[in-house]
Amino acid sequence: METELTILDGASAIRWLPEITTPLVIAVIDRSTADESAPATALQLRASGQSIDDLLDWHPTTGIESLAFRVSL
Amino acid sequence: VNLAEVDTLYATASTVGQLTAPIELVAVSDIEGARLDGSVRQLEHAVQENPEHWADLLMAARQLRWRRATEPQPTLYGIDRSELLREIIHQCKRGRIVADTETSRIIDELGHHAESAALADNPVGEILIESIEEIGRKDCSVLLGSARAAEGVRQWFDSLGLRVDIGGGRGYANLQIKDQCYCVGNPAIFGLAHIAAPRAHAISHFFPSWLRNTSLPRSEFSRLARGGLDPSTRIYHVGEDASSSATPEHISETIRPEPLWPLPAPSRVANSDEVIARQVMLSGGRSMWLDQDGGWIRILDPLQPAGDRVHLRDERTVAPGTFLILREGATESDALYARSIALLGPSASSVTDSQAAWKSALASKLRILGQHAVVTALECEGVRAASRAPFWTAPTVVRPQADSDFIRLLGWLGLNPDVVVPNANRLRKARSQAATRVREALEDALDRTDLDYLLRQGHVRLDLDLEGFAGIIATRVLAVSPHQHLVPRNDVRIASPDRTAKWLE
Repeated sequence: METELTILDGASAIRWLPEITTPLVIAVIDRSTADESAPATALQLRASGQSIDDLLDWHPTTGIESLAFRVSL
Repeated sequence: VNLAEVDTLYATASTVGQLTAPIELVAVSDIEGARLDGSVRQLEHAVQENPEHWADLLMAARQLRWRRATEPQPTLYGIDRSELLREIIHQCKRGRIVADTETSRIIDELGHHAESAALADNPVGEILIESIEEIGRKDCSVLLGSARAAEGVRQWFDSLGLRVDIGGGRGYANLQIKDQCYCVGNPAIFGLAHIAAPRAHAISHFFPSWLRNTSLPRSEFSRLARGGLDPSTRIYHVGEDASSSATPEHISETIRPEPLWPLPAPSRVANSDEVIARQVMLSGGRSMWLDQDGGWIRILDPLQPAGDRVHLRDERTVAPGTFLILREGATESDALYARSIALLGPSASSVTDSQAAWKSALASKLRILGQHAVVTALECEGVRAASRAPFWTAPTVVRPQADSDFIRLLGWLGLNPDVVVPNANRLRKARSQAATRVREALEDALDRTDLDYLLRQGHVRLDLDLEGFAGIIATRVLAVSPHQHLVPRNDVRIASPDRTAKWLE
């Protein structure tokens, strides 16, 4: 069976984000680390894709920031 | 951490900085600090034609200004402060010999103001103590802008019998959630983390009023995100402000001492032995060249749990505060390569022959066509990481990461992938086994190392129980040059002593 979802938790996992080819990826970014490489990786990828924040039918708990985007593989 | 605690962390993040609890910015009048700041600016202006001749004095004076901005404790608890003052006085004497009349006057004043600022207690400290007493010691924490400041404040509070949680440098995430967190310094000297993931229901910043930059840093992510945090601030002034009005460039600048980076030579085409690199200043008075082609470097995160502290990281994301793991005198990849070859056993020679074949074919293309033409040609072939081509010739770089890149490269070189790729993969597998062994040995060594000492001191030697891995150091990155240089490939990633790194910490 094809893998449908990848969850990347934290900066050392998120560096793989550009390499992942599953249809869905969730990247969990920790705001408490001074390391800004994880959000930078996500934003860099987003720049080459298309925002789908409006399609995302998820309203996270207050205090959580979310970004949704689609890229072509 | 249980779910209820996670919930509290998010709830705290959503309330801090809202209109009901804005971030308080308390600007405290500080005459001695303001005079020092004025003198440093005058000297910067006077020597702007050739600042490198004045590097020693400028660096030392900026370091003292930085400590005045970030260390609230009385002189007695200012770590190494008298050593720093002696250095400034010494450099002032040296500078006067070559200075013109106007610069001499500025230097005399700077020496005088440095002495006052080093010896006079910081008025921010008094406000800090008053505030702690007011809210109650148990309900607050204090966050400092550097590990040095945190250590000094710890000693000061100990002498007062004041038991308050103290964070500094990167240790803040371990703080308990309190009613109030007092930060010493303006928001610009802290990163985003203490506000974006707060460990208190309310945050106040105390800083001398000559620090003009009162803006809050805001991440690009927050700006774009749904539910993006956008904290508000309220400013208070304490004491008479004697200093004159600020110009816009004074407001936007950062006060953190930056090295005087050498400027790159005019741009030219790299020859085949050169790579693009940035200079990086390291704790312990060292600097090194760090290549910028998307390769990986080993880093240490001392705050992660045991077994998960050592990682590989894209070298371009190395920033101040990152701990690097380096091998003294040589790069780690040589030792790792030797171990991988040993692991291959009898098949080693066929693998090294096959590797040498495609690497020498690529090297001769680079020699004949030049780097630029090779990269362009590979890009046309659809090789995504084409810019890394010059690196692929090194024996220690096993192969391009992506299969498609490797196959296209071999096709372009006219070689048969069916032979080369499996051999390269054998080496890659051996290398990954060797790397795992190194990582385990590093984690073992870290178990025997005082990581609090590392966080305080910025660098430590690790004793690895592994052949070929003597002389490993973990060291904090203090600054990364904004300039890119062309440097010989063999010069990158080798930490060597650098006098100008001394006054950065």
